[in-house]
Amino acid sequence: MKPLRLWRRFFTVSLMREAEYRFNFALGLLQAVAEIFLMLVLYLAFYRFADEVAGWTRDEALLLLGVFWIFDGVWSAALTPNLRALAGLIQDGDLDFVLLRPVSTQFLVSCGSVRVRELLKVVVGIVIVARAGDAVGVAWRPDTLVGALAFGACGLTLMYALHFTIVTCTFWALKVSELYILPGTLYDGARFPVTYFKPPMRQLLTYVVPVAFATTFPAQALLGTADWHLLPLGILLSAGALLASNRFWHFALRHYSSATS
Amino acid sequence: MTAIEAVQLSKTYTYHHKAPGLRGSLESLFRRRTLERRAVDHVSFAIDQGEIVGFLGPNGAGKTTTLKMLCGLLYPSGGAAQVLGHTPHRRENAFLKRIALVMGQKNLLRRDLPVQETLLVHKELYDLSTTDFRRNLDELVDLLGVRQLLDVQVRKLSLGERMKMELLTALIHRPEVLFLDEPTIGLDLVSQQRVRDFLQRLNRELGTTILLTSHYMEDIRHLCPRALVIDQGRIRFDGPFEDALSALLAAASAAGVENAPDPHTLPEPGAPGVLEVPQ
Amino acid sequence: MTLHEAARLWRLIAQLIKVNVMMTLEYRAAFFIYMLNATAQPAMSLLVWLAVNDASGDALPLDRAQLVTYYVLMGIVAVVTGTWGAPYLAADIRNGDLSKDLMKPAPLIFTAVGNYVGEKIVKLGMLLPLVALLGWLFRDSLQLPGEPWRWLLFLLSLLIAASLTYLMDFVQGLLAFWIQDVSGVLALEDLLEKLLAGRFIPLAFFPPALAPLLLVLPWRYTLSFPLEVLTGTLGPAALAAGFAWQAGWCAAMWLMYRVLWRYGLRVYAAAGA
Repeated sequence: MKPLRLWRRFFTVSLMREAEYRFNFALGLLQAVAEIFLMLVLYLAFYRFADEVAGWTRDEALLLLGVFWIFDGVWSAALTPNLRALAGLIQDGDLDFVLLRPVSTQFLVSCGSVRVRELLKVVVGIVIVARAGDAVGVAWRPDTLVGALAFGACGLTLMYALHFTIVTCTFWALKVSELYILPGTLYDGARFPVTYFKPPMRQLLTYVVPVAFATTFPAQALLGTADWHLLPLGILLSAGALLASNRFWHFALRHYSSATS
Repeated sequence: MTAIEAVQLSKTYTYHHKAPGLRGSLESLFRRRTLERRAVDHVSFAIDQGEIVGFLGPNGAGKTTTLKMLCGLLYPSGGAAQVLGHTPHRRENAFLKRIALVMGQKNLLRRDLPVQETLLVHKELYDLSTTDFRRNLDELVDLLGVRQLLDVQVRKLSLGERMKMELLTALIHRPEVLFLDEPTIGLDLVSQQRVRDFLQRLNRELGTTILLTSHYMEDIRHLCPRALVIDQGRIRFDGPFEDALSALLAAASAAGVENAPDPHTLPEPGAPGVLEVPQ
Repeated sequence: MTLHEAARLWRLIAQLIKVNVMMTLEYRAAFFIYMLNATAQPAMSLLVWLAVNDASGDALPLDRAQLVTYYVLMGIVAVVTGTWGAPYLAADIRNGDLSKDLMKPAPLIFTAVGNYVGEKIVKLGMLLPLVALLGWLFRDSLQLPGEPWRWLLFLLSLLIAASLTYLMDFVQGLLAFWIQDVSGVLALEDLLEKLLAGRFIPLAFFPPALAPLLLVLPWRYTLSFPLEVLTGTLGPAALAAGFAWQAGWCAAMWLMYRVLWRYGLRVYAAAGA
């Protein structure tokens, strides 16, 4: 498939470029480790005072944390660098070359580069999920794994559509490059089981900034406590959100004023 | 056959006005003055396949804006454009595969990569088969004389070599129409001439229709049998290059000294160069 | 410094503050977004700790009222003590642009204050209504102290905290005189700050064995201490000790600045920038 082949090229090119700047690459790896370390300390602090918080034991919560790192690794490697750069491209009128390619422009601006160093989080996340999963007694069956991945994919698509739509608004708010920060704190909520929060926050984190799909539901799928009715809903919402973000993007492009010489 | 056609093409920009000082900053919180600028004002022309045409005019005249509307980058405020039978702003994939844009002031190539890598990305982007890719590459590399530079990091190339690589990358998918925006800006005289020679041979051997904007007289003089003079968003002249000069001077005196085109772009007839020191 | 020089310096800083207020207003939308985040982040930490509190049966070292007050006001303290200058200072040193600053009629450490104060004035203007809204949302548990002297002590500790973070940030930037890329150092300090300043884990929640360490290190005094003063968790002896440590760290950072600045400039001049 063409997008996949293209993405492989983007990955290769990004890897080549990152390998050029070894100090920054190493620093990035260390920062990822530091982030992971901080979150582990935080969770250990929580469970000093209680064996179970909002229905999640310590090991179950750590499983969710592992899921978060897998999600965050993919998110920070494949999507965030592009969404952050997009605002700048819109402001500087630098989309010319992107707009000229016979490929979906949304795909190019969303996936054009990969921040390879963030993928370390995926590796660590998998390790954490494996260890915590074993401690809790997760049944590693194909259907639970596929279910978890399905929920995660919905979460990724929904979060992407939300962020992308917000950044697209930069066309009308040209002085603001920081729009992508807006959902940021709510994104941080993905680090915790969504039951830690009471309604209406819980609904906010499930349907508005759908971090629940990204981490809580996949973790529940592995633990065998998922509400499977939410999966078809999630798939439907994902498809709809993606389509809407695409329509909105093309509408916004009419307002593009490229930098003139 | 008509390759490019513009009919009453227009582009208008709106912007806000802010008064200076602290009071101005606070005022603009509550009240804003909106102003309009007509960058392109009812422009009409037609270009046939295989032609080389130049857009001439001072900075801010609307040449680049017109060019970008023809590429599909900008959405026109009014009028219509047709390129190779397509409506540019719809940006259909079939249309995009048949055109290319090179900008003198904006570089496509990443500095820290060798050109070969970017070319491979373009191979995927434009769905080129390996045979077509190799054939196009060989052709262009010979025309440009850059075979030994393909594996060199772009930042290690000279400005002239970089522009050649930009052209190579832009043309790898064999477009029928090539748009160029200030292609020779910042280049030394020898490189400028090489680029012009290359474009002429490209047009002769592959029949590529070429439309370029420039405020260097020499570009247009050497390359373009036909010139369009644009000033303040309007076409002042459309015809043979030799007659374009007098039209340009007339536009300058009509607009007054304030709006006169940059004197550096108006050498006396017969004199060489523009911003570079004459030989 | 003579009185005349001090007056001139003050006028200069006042002008710089005015300019920075204008510049910040120019980008008010972006800064408003930052302020939304500055309010939302502590709120999220609060919600999570409240969940832990409920699960533990109110067994946390801080009770619900203290927890709420701590986190609702954290945004204000974070913004007042926020810093961002170190990477720019480091870059100026590495690429020679520091020379421009050296030509100004006052030491850089003073003129740079103009940017911070100007920006923070506008930021606080945007932040205070947001914090008020947050406080209203938690009004059932929020417990602001009534005694005016406690508020005065809070403001005093806030001021010293802002000076402390300013100096710490400046000193880190100055390391660029000797280190090629200070981003590693900045990242390390950032990690320590996140861990030890009380942002994500209130310092009272750390294992008691670590308490002396947290007391001695500077990070408590950049965020947690002013909030501890306000929420009334400190007795008179602890308050006095806290202020002493806070002022002490400030003095230590000032000394470090003097030393690094003096020797750093020699290295800078030798490099022929």
